[in-house]
Amino acid sequence: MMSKEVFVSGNTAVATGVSLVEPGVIAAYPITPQSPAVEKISEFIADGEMKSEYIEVESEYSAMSACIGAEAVGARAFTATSSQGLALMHEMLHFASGQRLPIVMAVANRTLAPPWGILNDERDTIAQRDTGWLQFYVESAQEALDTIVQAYRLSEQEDILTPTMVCYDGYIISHAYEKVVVPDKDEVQSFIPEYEPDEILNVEDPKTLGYAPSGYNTEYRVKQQLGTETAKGAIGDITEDYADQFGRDYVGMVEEYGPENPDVTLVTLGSVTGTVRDVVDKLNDQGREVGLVKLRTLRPFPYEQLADILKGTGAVGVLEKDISFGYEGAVFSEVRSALQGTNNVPSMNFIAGLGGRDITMENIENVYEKLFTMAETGESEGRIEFVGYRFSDGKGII
Amino acid sequence: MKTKEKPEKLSDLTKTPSGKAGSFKLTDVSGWKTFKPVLDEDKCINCLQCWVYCPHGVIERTSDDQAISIDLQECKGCGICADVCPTDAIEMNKIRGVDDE
Amino acid sequence: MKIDEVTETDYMDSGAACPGCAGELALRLVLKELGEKTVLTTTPSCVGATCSVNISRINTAFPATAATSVGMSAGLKALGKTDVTVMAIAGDGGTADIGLQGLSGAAERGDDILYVCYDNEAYMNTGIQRSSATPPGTWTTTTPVGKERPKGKERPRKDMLKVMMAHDLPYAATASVSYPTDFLDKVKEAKDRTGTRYIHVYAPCPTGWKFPPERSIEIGKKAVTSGACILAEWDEGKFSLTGQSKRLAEDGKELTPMKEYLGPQGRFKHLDDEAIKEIAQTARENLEEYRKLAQAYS
Repeated sequence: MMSKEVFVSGNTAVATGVSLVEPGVIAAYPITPQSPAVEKISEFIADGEMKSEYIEVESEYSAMSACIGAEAVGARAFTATSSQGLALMHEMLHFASGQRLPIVMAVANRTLAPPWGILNDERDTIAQRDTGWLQFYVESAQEALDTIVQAYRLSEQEDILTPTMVCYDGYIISHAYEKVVVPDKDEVQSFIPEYEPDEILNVEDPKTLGYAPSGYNTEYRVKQQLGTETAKGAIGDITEDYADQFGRDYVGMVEEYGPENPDVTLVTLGSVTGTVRDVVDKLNDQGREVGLVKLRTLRPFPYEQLADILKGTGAVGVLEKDISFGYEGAVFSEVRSALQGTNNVPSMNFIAGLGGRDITMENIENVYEKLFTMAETGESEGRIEFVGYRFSDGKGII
Repeated sequence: MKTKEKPEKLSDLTKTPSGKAGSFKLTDVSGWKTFKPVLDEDKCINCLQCWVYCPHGVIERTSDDQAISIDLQECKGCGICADVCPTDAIEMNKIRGVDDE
Repeated sequence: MKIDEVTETDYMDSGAACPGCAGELALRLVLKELGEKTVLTTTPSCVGATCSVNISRINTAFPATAATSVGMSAGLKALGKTDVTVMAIAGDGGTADIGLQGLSGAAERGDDILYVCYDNEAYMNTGIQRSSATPPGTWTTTTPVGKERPKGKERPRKDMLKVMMAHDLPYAATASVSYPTDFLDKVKEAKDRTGTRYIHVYAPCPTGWKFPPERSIEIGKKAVTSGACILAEWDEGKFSLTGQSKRLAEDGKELTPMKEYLGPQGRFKHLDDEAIKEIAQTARENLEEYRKLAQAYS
């Protein structure tokens, strides 16, 4: 079998990626906008195209718990969720990473209620960044499929053993149709080594899981941190191998776009990257040197690369669909901390797309205009701007 | 959970929070006891009541016609064995050195 | 089963449970029957935190007991390991309260697990707080006895056997550590079935019920003979009373006076004769209801 081209939604691309890996156990609960992904997986199984045990669990909490059980006996597991469902899983996200179970989960990013909404922002996954999972934010259906395949190899690496979330924006990616190349299943299988963990529940050599020797909590946390640190290098290697084998190169944890040494740079993540690319092209065609940095991973956080990439730029903006109330966008805090000591240029946080509000090219052009002003004057209007704030009372800038 | 040997470096620890099954075992709980069971072998009819009801698994059954035996290191002195014994073959005796209230 | 037929091999050592702990006894007995080809899920509870088990086990999070076991069962199936029993054990709070949703989900789907609830009628590991399985009239640290609330807990307890029967699962039973052969007969029945199997075993707690540890077994027997706890079995749609409960409900055996069961327990010391009479009356009614159920589902 060869690779083939199909025209599918992001959800189908996710399901297809999972079918190529064919994990032993799938446990999932439906939630808009993830549902079509798990429906498709159920279809693949019903049609015999994929041999996995599918558990139609009664909640996301149980979905994650079942994935933990499956991985605890040594089987590969997959689940997918979104928003409220991810929030419900929170306790077990810690359990999965703490127990070092390399589960892969796709998350169709959706806003959290209230106010109720089913459209996209990234508050759901960004709120889970401290749960010990690796987090990828993808830009397209193709990248979602490819990243799921890469995630299994990454998570299961013996010196990493850390679960991975593949985050894809709800509707914008999950429901939009794209041309997607589906790689050959055998080739995918050869890309992912056999999964043969030894610290599992078996009857031959009985183990107790969930406890560590008393007095060594810190040491096990060091191990967890080292696992995620190791992932940094591994992401580069795996991305490169994937590019060699399948021809699609996602560079690693960070991708730079635009001219070298741009006057101003915007850092962002997820599907809005595609819109920003178009704005960058347009502005550069007009002779304005603007750059884009796409954060492909939030965990591990590529602070060394960011510090290096942003070294010479005149102003830095961070565009994100998230806010940590009482402070600022979480990604902004992290980008600024990465620049500490190496780059004291003005920076500003652009919070956009909350609850699914459109982020237009015009919005992004305005962001770049502000960055130019900041680069010139050395000052910014404020620390945070809520992009697209509807009223003229000035409260959208803080 | 306990470890047999004291780990000296990170690689001495398991990769994941786990260990060999049974690592919650307390090797000596003899100090928990105020009373200890004393068996009168002549009275024991090997009915196995004490064996089946011992919550802590410290009573061993022996071959058919012999009396049971009690592991006093692991016994917590709860007294269930004496309570369920139909022939009063087990007596709970106060351990010397334990003050009377 | 007779006592001398109970498996000799013990899959547990002495851990840190309180002296006279019937929860530890419950797990010890179950594992004897299940044998070494078992993997186990425990949860935050006295058993999960103190028992030393020589069988593979994972201590999962409180609401996750059933679903973790379900995942283990599916994982073993995916790996082609079909001769392993997946068992879960949790207390009454872990089962009837925080773990109920996951257990209900598993039972409805028919996932292949054996779930054992050891019922000591309150959250004992956290310090004797009431659960939905705590019977009315019980003092606990969250239903203390006071001027405004002289009875302790007021509402009836959740009847988990009926809850599980409503799922039409292949096998469900109540049992007591005080009647080990009846208990193990039920474990044996449950072991060989496919699907979700549920055993609810009453396990007196000397620490939380406030009685001397040597009386765990005796008090467990009186719980049954007074009618406070009922031994019964749901087997593929047939319901029957078993052991002492059958004798009490169907053969006219006389009930032990409720005072003999409640009296030795400090958690009931606030109850006057009137309150005890009321509890005895409820027990008789429950037993009669179970007898009728057994007739209806014979």
